[in-house]
Amino acid sequence: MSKDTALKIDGLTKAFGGIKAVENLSFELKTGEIMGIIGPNGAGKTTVFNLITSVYQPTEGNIYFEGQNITGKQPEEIVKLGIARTFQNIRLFKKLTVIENVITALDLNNPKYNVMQALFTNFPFVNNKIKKSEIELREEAKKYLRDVGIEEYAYKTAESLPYGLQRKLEIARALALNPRLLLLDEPAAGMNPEETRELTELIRTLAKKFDLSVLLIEHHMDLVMNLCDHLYVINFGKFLAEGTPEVIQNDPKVLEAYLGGEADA
Amino acid sequence: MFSSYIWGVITVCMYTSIIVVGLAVFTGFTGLVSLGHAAFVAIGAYTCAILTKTFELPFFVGVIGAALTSGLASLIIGYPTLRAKLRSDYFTITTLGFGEAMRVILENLEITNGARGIGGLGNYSHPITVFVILVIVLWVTKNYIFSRYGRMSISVREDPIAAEMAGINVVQVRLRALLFSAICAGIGGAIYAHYIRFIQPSMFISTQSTLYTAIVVAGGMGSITGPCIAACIFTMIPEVLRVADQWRMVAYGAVLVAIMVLRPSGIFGYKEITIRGMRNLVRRLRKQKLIGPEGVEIDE
Amino acid sequence: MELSLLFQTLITGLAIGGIYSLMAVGYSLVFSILNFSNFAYGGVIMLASFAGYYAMTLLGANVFVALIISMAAMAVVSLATERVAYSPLRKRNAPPMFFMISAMGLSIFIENLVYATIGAHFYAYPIIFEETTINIFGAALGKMDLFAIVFSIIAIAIMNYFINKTRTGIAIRAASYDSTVATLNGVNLSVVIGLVFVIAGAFAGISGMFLGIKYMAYPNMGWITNKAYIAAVIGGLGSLPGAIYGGVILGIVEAFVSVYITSTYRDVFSFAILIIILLIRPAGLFGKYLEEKV
Repeated sequence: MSKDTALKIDGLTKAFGGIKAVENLSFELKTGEIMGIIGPNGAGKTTVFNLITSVYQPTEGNIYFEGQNITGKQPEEIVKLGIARTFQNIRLFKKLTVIENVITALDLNNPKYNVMQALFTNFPFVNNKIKKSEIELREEAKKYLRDVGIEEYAYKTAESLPYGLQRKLEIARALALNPRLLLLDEPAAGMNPEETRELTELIRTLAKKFDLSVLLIEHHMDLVMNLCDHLYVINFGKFLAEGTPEVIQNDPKVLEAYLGGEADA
Repeated sequence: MFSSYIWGVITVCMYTSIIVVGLAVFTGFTGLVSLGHAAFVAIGAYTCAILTKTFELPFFVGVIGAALTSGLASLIIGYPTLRAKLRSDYFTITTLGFGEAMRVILENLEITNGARGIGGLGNYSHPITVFVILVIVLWVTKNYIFSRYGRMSISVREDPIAAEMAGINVVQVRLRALLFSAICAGIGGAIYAHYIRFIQPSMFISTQSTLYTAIVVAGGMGSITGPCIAACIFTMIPEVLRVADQWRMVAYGAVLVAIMVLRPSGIFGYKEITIRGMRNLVRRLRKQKLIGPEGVEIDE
Repeated sequence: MELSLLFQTLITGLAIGGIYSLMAVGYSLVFSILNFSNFAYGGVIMLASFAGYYAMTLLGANVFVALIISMAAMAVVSLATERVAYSPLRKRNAPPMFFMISAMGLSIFIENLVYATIGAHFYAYPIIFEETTINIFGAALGKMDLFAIVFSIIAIAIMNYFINKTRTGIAIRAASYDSTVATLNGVNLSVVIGLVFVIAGAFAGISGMFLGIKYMAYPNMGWITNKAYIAAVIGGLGSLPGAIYGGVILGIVEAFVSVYITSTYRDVFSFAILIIILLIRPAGLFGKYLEEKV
């Protein structure tokens, strides 16, 4: 295994009590590739994300990131290694401002001061390390807001943003962690076709700009078919099919289980 | 200028504020509830009392000792209980047990003089001393909140899972906030001991802990000035009304439920009272011709 | 170590452990479905000790009738607490912390209301068994202890059957696993939650009355009702078997510590055990809530 495999999942199983949410999944994501996981509701897609980011511990199987086994590491360690994600049911720091949401992620890798300095050296009216760092962070955070196009909302609270922009803020926050692998959980949920098309372009642009490998879960078929180089289909937690969008589109198993079952998707 | 009675009330307001500000960092900014904070106050009070009385050390050494022992105790309690990181309820319930255990220990140790307590403490908690300590505590607290550490606390309060996924070590953030609040509680306890000049275990029971949390919640989640003002209100109302203790507590309980049902962010939720805010308020009131001469503009 | 004393201590521990289990189950049941710490439960248990006392003294009821009166009264009180203090929060989707604080407020309210109206006196129950002890294998066992053990076991067995075997019980379990999915499947959440509070109240009715018989009824029973929460944490929050075992373990440990080590530091030992268990198993013995739904 080398650097050209960003993520490798090997025999992944997760059981909650007696119920297996995902069972024996294996796949590889090539570096720089955009890959989609699709499947009907409740197929265990989000569980896969939760396992990769160590929110859950797998019952069986291993997860490798750039060749390194990351199974069982703490979530924050995994983030530091270079994996960032967004959530299906948006999880922002609602009472913080938009820019602070990004700063929270941003100052993680490169803190400019420690606790003692923060507590005892920040005198009023005196310019110091802490104030300087805050200004720098703000400038840097603005770049990420610009990248997803929500700079004008920087000083509004996150909860006051409309739904679609909250999704973009989540992406900006994830990017601020400086990841090499980005996990997007239904980024287009609740968006109309126009917004979805725009988002498709945005993801493509960001992936190129930040040199990202992307793994995404999505129900909007036009986004998936447009964007993904590779698709992995699961149903009831089990592997169903794998291949390029063209192959998957014409796979009778997939049509029966997924497209047939959810005609409106 | 003031009678000693008024100075007394002011001192009580100030040391209660010190305790409550620490707890505000923990509850209001990190989103965890403690029902044993009186025990940290007790540790501070007893440590300082023993250092100044038994060992005859100066007051400031006693205060530092109080801060250290309370802080250490918080780490011992916090580490095992905050590790179950997504469920902070483990911590809250453990603090109940901690408060009870601390009372039992204080009632039975020789050095704390058992249930009779320690009396004849030096009168060191002069209002000016307390005021200086309060200012320092407020300044440090403000620095904490407006630094990356404060931001991390708020993000953990808002969404622990998202915070983890932003690379934040949730356990560490919570433990740090607990340590901070316990140190404040310890300092407040030290001042309390040398203001009352007599301490005994029954002063630090769980009702007291609940009251501290009630003050923070009533003052406002995510606010420092709100809880300070609530601390003063909660201290002064019983002085003014002179109602029976139990009925006062009945009212506190009802108020707490009412706040959660009607205005869960508290009186000053997520807001601070700042000089700029006051100016804006004054300006708004002037515009409505409620106060002040017309046409007078104030600069920002 | 004398064998009869050992046996006697075990029975004492089981008796108090059984009461702890009842309290912890009632508390844990609410936790499992609404995901918050119902600190008002201690207050309800304390009210139960008074309900039982007044049923026996004022109404002259016997112990069984008094138990039923206490259970019924506390079921109503418990349901009322839900409707007043939690239901508005539930409708607003408030975070668990707000529920917890509301519960704290309610607990302060109940305790001090009793203080202010009935007063801080101790009320001893009338004598229930003429002979207080019976001799088994040379050990003098309290009849009330044995009665409490048997009654606790019966109550827990009935609840176990109800939760696992009846349609309503299954609805409760489904709601505790995932309230959204349960609602989608036709479970009326408001009814289920009301029912959970009624059951919890009934359990408070039993345990509160037993506590009253053992330690007398008085408003400041918090130090003992807190054991319900501690037992639930030892067993693992939200787990019903955990609550039962947590209660029994806590009761037995306390009895043995009191008899063989020290009775003054008993509560310090309970606390130490709690800390040790959390160090070894951060989610408690049967805890399943380390992993939250994302």
